[in-house]
Amino acid sequence: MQTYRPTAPVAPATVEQLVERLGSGDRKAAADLMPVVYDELRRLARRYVRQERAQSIQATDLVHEAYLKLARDKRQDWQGRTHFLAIAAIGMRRVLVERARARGASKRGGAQVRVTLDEGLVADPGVALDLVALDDALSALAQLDARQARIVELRFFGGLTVEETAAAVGVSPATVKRGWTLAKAWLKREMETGHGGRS
Amino acid sequence: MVDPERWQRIGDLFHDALACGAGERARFLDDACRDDPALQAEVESLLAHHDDSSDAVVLTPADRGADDAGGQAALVGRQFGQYQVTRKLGEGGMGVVHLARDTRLGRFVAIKALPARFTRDEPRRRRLRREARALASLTHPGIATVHALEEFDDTLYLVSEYVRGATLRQELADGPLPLSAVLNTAVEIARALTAAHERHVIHRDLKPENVIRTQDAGIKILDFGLARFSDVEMGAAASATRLTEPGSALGTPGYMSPEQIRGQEVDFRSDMFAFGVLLFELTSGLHPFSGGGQTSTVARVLEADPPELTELVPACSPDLERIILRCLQKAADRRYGATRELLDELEQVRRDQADRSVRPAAGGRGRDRARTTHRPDPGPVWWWQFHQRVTGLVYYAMLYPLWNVRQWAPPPWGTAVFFAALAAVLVAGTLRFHLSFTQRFNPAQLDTQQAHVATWIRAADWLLVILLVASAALISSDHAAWASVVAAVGIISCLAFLIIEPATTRAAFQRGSDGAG
Repeated sequence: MQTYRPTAPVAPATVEQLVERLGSGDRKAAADLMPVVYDELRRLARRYVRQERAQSIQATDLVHEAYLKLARDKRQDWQGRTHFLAIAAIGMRRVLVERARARGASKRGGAQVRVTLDEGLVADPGVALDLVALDDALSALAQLDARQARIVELRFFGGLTVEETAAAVGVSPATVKRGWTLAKAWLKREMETGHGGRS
Repeated sequence: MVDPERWQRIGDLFHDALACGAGERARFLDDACRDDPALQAEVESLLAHHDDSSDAVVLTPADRGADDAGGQAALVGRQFGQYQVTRKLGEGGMGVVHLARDTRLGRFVAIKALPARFTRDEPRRRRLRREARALASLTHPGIATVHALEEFDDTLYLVSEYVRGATLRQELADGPLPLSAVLNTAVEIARALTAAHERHVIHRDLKPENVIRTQDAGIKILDFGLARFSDVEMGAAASATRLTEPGSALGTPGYMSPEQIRGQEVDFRSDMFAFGVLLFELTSGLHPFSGGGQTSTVARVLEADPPELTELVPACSPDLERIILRCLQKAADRRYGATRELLDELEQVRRDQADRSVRPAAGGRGRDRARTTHRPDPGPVWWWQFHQRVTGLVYYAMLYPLWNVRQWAPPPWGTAVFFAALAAVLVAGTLRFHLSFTQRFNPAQLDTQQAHVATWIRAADWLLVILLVASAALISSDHAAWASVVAAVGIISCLAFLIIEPATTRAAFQRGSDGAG
């Protein structure tokens, strides 16, 4: 029997256990893991800024790196990994948008990482995506169809494959593909016209 | 007004329309949305964005480095001092590169303006000048020479050798190279890298784009050490507005070593990793850590093993594969301890390969020969290691005759000499083993460690020599043979640390001539 202290920092040893419990469908584990993942992602992103390198680092790379650091263990089962990445995707979205907003507030002063998102929303990986607009659009999409927004989040920020996304959301891969296609077209339009999704 | 139900309907129509061929799509939508033109407009607009092959979304143009545009805009046709800018050559990680004619020396040079944000204040400029001096001192046929760092109108321009030829990236577009070409290219690059590393210059961004095959079929490495100009000098704010083409950012993902990715301290072994990636690509035409698609390249560099090279390329020699794999080790200390060692092995493989092609039917004999000649010519680092270890061992061995001296010499003196010598041997011998170990497994620390222990070693050396000579004198009347051995070792040790050791150190690490610089 274990007792939970969600506010206390989780020691690295328990991260592995958390990931393991995630695999067996423990919801509490997800809640406990989120702050750890989020902190780690923030730390990594900060380090990328400090190191002045890899300016167009992929969001997926950050997530994977966080995953590798937090769950270095050979006997990860696939479910555990997928769920972990799913959680990291939310963390990644928060980190990136937070930075983008802070940056918008301080114009040039704020340090930031230029992040490339996978899967074809951005044609030229060297240019920055307007993350704040994407976040707004994604929130608007969540009002219309929470599942589609979730799919975008997982694919975009977490770098999950169609199959992994399907497993994390609990639908068939075909459904993920359909939702992804539609959501992508919609997001593109929303961001291009600058509605921010408020129709 | 779109609500979830309507969105559901929009989605269904969107997918149904997609399922139709492009020709039928309009008719299908006309039919389906006969009484709801707004719905039709919505679906059509989404379809338009789905079809939009340009794929670009709204970007933030304000992010693109405004301060770069001014510095590099209209260089063509301008004259800076003796440099007449002719045309734009291309864009690299450092910004735009122009071809210019040096009117004074009548040669062409490549000239690049350092982005203003690296050169804003005097300390940074001083630092850049120092870096440029170090780079300019690096002359090797395989390295594009840095000629000068010039300042015109408040902008710093790096002037370097103009190299004509095609990059290895362009060569790779036609697929992998044949084995003999890979080996020749590899040896040449390794020679240039060895020369640079022995002068403590690290490239930091070695990749096929940065290696040019010149018109005389030699190779030249471009942008040696230039990554540092952006790496070290850039402030945090600058990184946000960095204007570089994609993939040219410092430390190109895919060529960055694991330690570079992790942001740890980087030494020459990072170049070795990049070199391994490059060799893998030259041999197979494939990047060792891309592919698969599901995991990112960075994650693969960190955790995945490269695919079996000899399986991808049956003609590849196992020796070459072994060398490449050693360069691609995740842990820097499992790669080669010195670039020269890598070079030696590559040259050996090339010789073996040449032998094999001359005598293809040599069979077993050829293999024997390969085995016996496998040991490469010892380089200066090897001799330095040899010297350190032999000196250490000889020192320890001297404890035996000195133990005898303790018994033979008059009572207080013998004991005093022995224990003083014991202390000296422990210090001088152990610290030498320490240096030897550091060079082998932690070369980045060698400079610091050497500076750290130099005084101790030197003091212990002198003490030991004095004690050896003194004990020889003490026992000379009764044990002349031992006395002469002890005295001889004392004198040889003296010569060794005064003359031989500085020579091997200089040869191995190129110290002395460039001193603290």
